[in-house]
Amino acid sequence: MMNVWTLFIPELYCLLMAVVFFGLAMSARPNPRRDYFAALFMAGVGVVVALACVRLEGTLFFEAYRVDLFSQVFKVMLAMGFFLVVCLCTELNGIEERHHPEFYLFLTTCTLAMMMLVSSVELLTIYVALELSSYSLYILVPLRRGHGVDVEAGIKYLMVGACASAVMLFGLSYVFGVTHTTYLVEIIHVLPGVIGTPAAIVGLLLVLCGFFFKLAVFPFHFWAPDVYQGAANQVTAYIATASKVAAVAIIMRVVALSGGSSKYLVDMLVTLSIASMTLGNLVAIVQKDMKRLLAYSSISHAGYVLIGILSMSATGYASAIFYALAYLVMNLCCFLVVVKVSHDGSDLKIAQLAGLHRRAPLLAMALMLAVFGLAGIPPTIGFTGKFLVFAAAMEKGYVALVIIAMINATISLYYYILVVKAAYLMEPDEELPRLPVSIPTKVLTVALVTAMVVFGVAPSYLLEVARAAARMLM
Amino acid sequence: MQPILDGLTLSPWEPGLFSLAIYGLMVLGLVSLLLFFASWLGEKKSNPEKLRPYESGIIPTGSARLRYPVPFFLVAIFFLIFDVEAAYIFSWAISYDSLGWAGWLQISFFIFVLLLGLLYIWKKGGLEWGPTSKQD
Repeated sequence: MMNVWTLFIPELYCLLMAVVFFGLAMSARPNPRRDYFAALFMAGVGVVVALACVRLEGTLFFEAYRVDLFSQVFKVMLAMGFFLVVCLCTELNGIEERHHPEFYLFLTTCTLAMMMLVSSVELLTIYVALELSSYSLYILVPLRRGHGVDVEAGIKYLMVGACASAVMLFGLSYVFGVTHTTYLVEIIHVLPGVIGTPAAIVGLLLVLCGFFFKLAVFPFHFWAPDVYQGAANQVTAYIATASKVAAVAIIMRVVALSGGSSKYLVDMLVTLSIASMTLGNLVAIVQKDMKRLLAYSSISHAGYVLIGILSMSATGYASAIFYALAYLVMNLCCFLVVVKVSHDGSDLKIAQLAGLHRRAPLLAMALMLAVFGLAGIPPTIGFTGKFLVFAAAMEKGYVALVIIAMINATISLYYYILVVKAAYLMEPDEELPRLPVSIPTKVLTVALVTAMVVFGVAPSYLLEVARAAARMLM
Repeated sequence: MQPILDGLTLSPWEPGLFSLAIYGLMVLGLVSLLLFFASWLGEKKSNPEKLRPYESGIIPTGSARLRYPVPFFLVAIFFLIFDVEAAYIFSWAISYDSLGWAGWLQISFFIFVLLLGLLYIWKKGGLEWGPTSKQD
């Protein structure tokens, strides 16, 4: 009995955090400093807890919940993402002070739900975990102090999310009808045998739609720009990083169900991947708002990750895991700069970055590296990630796909360089004061930059971990 | 329950898609024909009586864009939350004997979370309504 609960420790810890924030939310007087330090401390401990539980293995809840290296690696990433987003909350101006405990509470429940999502190996458990994480975000998006933009974004997010959920439930019913079970362990034995039939392939694709919504892949990307812009900067940072990581994990689990033998599924994923990349990159070029630009960039990155997943080999899955981690670090670094530059919590226009290299040299440097990483320029972690993903696709002989992806990477370079140009070469109309950058922010920035460069040059350790985790899927 | 393993039980691609396409074309044809006839043969004289919204035969009064007091909405939401949960508690109560103490613990946890929710809306003033309580 004791052993069962040790397996569940990271999730239990998240639950404990949620209870603490619930208690804080009940207090009569708002106290942002107290909330922030409580969140920072507990999120930090959460990373340690997740790291300590990496080696656990076993199943829980009537086999519906599997704890293995794959899930634990993703849990560490989620805990790290949560911690780093909390680090950005020193000046949480985008959200009213009396709502700060609720903000942390829903971030925690969302992290909890995603941790459950990456461990679930049963269809209904997956669905419940996915919905819990979505509901938390549905509330977080309109929490912003604003003039109705936030509510619009919140409603759009809810509508698209509800549609994606409905489509996914429809697909789940197909998969259940074909295989007569909801356990992934059994589905993975049955489904490859019937993957040629319309019912199986349509069911699997419809199930994937629910997760494509989370990842903002092409037909389900409509929410991304509006939600990124409408939500508070910190919430956007969370949606853009942690929730993407969880989506990658669960898409890999579901795609692995097909056993890698379906031509239809591969063709469909190739189409979606190309459409996502191309649309994201082309529309990003005309964006003036930094968060909208990052939204379209995230749509195109969803396309790149899909390349790794659709290879359906151990190398492919490992490269996708590595890419997810790389994306987490790079995107958080971008959002760090966004949050710090627009310290009053407003939306950041790209033009407002002008003169950043004199106002805050460290932030400008971090932004440049993160943006080059997103574009895939060596020696950053983004280059290594793209290289691994493309290599995995080449191994499977998808030459045309890789060429299209490379053309896309070149297109993306254009708008990424526009950001760097704004930060380094353009001068602001009137002289702006230097940005105050506190010591903890400096430490955080240096840590992120170091991680980007070091793991870009020497990725072997992370790659080993990713490979070991990917083996759990096959 | 035995999973279906031979591919023959499930319908294949081709015949289904063919008949679906034929069926789709027929539906499209019929609908466009009907729409065409309706617009071609139909009378197009409009008068205020025809354009008025139909409200069960009663002549409408006032604007449709009423503003309901927001407490109604809140109460509706609270009702939804606590009402739907009753479904779980009933289903637990029916199979109480077979679920045993483990089931009791789980439903207790569930009810505890519900109570926390109630505590929250109480504390935040969701239950106070009426002309006297002005929160902010």
